[in-house]
Amino acid sequence: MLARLRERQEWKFFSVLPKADRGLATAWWAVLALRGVLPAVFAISMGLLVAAVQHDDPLGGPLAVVGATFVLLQVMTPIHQAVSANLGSRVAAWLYDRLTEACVRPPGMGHLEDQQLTGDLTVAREFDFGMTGPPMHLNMDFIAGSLVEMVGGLVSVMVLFAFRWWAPFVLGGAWLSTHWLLRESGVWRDRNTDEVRLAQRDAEYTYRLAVDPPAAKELRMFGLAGWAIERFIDRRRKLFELQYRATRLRERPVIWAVVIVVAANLAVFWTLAGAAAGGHLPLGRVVVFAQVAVGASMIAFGGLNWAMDGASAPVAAVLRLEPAMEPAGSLRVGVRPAYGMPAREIVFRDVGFGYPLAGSPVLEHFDLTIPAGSSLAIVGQNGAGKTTLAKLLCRLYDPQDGAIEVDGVDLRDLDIESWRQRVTAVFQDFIRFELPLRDNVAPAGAPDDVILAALADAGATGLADLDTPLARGYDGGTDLSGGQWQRVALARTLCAVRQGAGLVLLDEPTAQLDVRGEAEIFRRILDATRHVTTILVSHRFSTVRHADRICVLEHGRVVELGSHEELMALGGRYHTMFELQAQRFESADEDEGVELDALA
Amino acid sequence: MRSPDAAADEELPPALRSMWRLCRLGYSHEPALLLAAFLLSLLAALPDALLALWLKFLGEGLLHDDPSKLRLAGVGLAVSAAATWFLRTVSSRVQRRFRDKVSIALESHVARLQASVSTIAHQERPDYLDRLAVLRDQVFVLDHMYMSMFSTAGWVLRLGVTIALLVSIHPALALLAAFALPTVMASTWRPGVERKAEEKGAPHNRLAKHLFMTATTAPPGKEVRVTGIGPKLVEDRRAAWERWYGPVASARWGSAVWHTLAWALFGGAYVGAIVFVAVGLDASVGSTLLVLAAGSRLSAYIGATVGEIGFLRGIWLDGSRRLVWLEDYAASVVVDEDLPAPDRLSDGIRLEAVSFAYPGTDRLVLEDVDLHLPAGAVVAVVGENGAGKSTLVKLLCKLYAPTTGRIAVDGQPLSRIRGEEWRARLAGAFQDFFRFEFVARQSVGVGDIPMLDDRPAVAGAIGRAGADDVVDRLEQGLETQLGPTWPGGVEVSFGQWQKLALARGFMRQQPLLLVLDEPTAALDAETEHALFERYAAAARSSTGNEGSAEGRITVLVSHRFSTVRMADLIVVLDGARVAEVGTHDDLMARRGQYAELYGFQASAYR
Repeated sequence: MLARLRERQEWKFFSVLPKADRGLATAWWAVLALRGVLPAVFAISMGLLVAAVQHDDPLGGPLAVVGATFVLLQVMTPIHQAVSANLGSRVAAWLYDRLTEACVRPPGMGHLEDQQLTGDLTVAREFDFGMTGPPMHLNMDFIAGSLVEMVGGLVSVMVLFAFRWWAPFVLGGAWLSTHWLLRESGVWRDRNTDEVRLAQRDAEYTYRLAVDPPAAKELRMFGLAGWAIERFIDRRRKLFELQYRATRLRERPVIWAVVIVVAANLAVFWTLAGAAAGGHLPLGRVVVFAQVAVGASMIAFGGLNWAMDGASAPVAAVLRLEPAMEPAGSLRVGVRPAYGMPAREIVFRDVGFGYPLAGSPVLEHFDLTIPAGSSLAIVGQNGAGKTTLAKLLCRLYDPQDGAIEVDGVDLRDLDIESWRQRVTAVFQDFIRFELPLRDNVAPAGAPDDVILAALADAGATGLADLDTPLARGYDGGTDLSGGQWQRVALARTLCAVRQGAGLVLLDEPTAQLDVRGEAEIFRRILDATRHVTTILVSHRFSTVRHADRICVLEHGRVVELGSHEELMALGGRYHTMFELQAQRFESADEDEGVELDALA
Repeated sequence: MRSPDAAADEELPPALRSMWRLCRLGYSHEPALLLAAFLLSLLAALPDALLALWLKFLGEGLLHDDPSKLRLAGVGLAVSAAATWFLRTVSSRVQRRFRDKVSIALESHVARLQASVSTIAHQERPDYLDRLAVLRDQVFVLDHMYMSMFSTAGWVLRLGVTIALLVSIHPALALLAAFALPTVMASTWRPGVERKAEEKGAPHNRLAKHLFMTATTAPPGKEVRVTGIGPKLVEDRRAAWERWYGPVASARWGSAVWHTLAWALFGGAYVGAIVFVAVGLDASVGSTLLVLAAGSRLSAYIGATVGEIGFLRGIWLDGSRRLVWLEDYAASVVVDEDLPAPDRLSDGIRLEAVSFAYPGTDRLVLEDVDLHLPAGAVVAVVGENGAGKSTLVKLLCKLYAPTTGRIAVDGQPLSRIRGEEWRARLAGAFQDFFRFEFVARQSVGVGDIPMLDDRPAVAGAIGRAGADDVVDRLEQGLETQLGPTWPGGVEVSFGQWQKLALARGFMRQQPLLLVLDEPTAALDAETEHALFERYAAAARSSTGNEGSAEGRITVLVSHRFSTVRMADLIVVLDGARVAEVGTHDDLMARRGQYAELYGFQASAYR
């Protein structure tokens, strides 16, 4: 069962080669075949030459054959190397194309967050980064080298048919049997079990913890280096012991293999020597048979080696992921155009929603009406479901119960692309494209004057030239601070508004701005988005009081809804929360009765 | 102390020294396995090289009608073929065992070196990061280097035996080896050319990778869908990749052409050698056979040696040079630290004319800073983005040393206080905290390693950080695995991570310096409020109770003035300089920058 599965994996690998590059794949196989035949041809041409020398025949012909074969034998290696490297690179690129497409195509998000799929995705994603093994362009050469040996050995052994009918079977069989006898020690079969994988990830994680920058400060502050390294050594050692026990050479099979190999070789060579001594074989043929009999040992060294596994596993993973991602990330297909929406209102009607993996639902029986053309702020504690509302409005997910209606139409009935053209959003973890400023503001493209105007709206004028890549490591690239990035992200949204987006979603858009910037940026944003529907997600009161309406969210429910003035007058939850922060500015020491030893 | 700058400008250490050092390292960890692996690779070379000799015997035996020589040749061929296989199999297993063992040693060596450098310049400077990336991500290239050296030794031995066999026919045949020189030259020169092409295209490759990650991970996936740029990402990624691939592929084809020419030259010489032996010397059939067999093997051995040396030069030697560079670097930043960390603070920490620029840059992030942080005080640091607040914190934590000026702790220079001891007396949380994806108990507990498994201590810290609600929401409480990619692991929101980071920062109960570098940026109003009460409480408990506490200084970096105003001392940074220092009331009375900023924020609430 397992063996059959593995065969399929390798089969998939080879079937991908021509898809990645037909010409190179053909060349790769052709050179492989040629390199496989050449050792036997060389042995035969050697025999011809020796016979000619022995009989004082003219040497020109045999010499030319020997020379040509020899040169071919030599030059095919570097040529094959170049073919392998380029084919490997193109296979990797093809796989990455498939993977990118498979990830991007589904309209929903489920396929990127599904735990099983992300495991596969990680394997598939990192195969060519050189971390878990050699990258594809090296692997192809390793695979080629190993296959050439196998083919070369098999072709050589075939020549022995001309000597004795049984010789190829005896010798070829003996060399092949080593593969079977030592199969356990060749490849670690159980290395893909959950236990081994977990140990591997655990070791890797701890190692990264010790050496990668993100944890550097805390690693030093808390003196974790020694602890992390011990933990790493412990995990790694366990892993290697598992591997060693699984793959070490076992005495019995080794002894059997040695006995078989020695016996078969002795049988063939002894017979050959006997035939030569008896004068039944001319020298030329003896030489040929001796050479190919020696060459037969290539069978034992060739085959589908370890590199094959490293190369075919990601191929299989990618091919497996493609069909699996489609349904996981699919959403119901709607056809109605969303032109000009929302014109009247957006209504959450009895909406229930929970993330696939989380235990409890985020929203239950959620009702909310958002009039078009106004601004609404959503405030609440962490985990109250604020961001979820924004995601539902982008239709990254569909609610499990109830419906979201735009101008009376169920969001699910709208053509998703048409709807998303109406929406623009900045999330807390917005994308920082390592691309020129222009593409950061308008990823889908926009005229320069629109981009500049959007940047001005966001207060990000003069950050950098439009052609400056916003990341180090690129020609002329520069790095922005967190606050500057935030402005760029806001400009991206404002640019979309200028291009006609009708619904603006801002999910904690100012978390990284400083005081002065915050005060300024909100004036600007509310100005620039006055004519469209704006939804602002925040936990800061300084941002939300300017919104037309404020919605206080608690445990997935609307607790209060109204303008700043109305809610203040109401004296409820919003009032309390607002006062809580506001009072910090008015008096210093009103907070008696707090436990004084809290930090001691 | 040698300037780390100087180390950066230096080239990587020389190749041979690096290789030798790596050998010694391997020997010190696994002497027996190293020797066994080395000897076996030599031994495995012998029967293989002798094959040509047996072939000669075979020819001679036949021509001279010498059955015993024929039998000897037959047995010799059979045993050589079998022994070659057996020794290669065994030696590869021994090598693998050695590699596994030594790779643990190497990886922990690299990790220890990096983690033991007390400053973090090498973790933040782009040029150092690039240099270390290879080492960090591909430690396996280092243990490959041992293999490569072993096999090189084996190939060289085969080469020697084969040349000896050729010389036994005629000394001039040794020249055949000289004709292999162009192949050696091509093999040493071309990998460098290919590498350069790859490096030149590195930005394209980086962009392709970036676009790929953007398209295939969940967080950016949201915007990718809303903006509808998915198909464009696919195209742009491929285009960036093609820009990288084009020159690289050409360089590879170029290499193939050069190698082909070099080998063709050798092939010509080989044919010449056969003619020379068969016609020129008019030698026996046995000799012709020998030159045929040995000559053809010669090429295989040269090819293998050259290939192995190419690998050594191209990849593996490079790794060992980086390792030696890291060793040197780690040694260079070990400074004369001879003072213990104090038990308690009485005077406080003084910064005297401290200036700082990040290594490798010219811009001063802090300029001529004079400050006194009194023992027992809560000190708030405010200022706009990029004003050096976090840098100040890093200097106090001894993660960097000031470029000029000095920091004194109760009069003792911080530079001489042993870094590890000093940091053992620190606690706190950073804005860019790390998400320790362990079970919740450990994720918090690592803040004080000795108390790692002490549940009450961890629970206490969680309480102090106001993170009870985070833990309450976890299904298995403190034993819940954090991080959704682990089995049974749960996703925790950014704000919840931040609370856990804060709890970790509160694990140590008696720090001399508590650093809170914008620890609540992502927290909501109520949590923030509750936390500020604790700061206030802490401030009072240590100032009101002099003598009993350890004189702890709390440094709070924030841009929220509602928090800042509670501090005993407020430091306002403007650009790289200290603009104002004083209490809230002092600074408000001065009507300076602080008063202006405060007014700005407070007005939002009126």
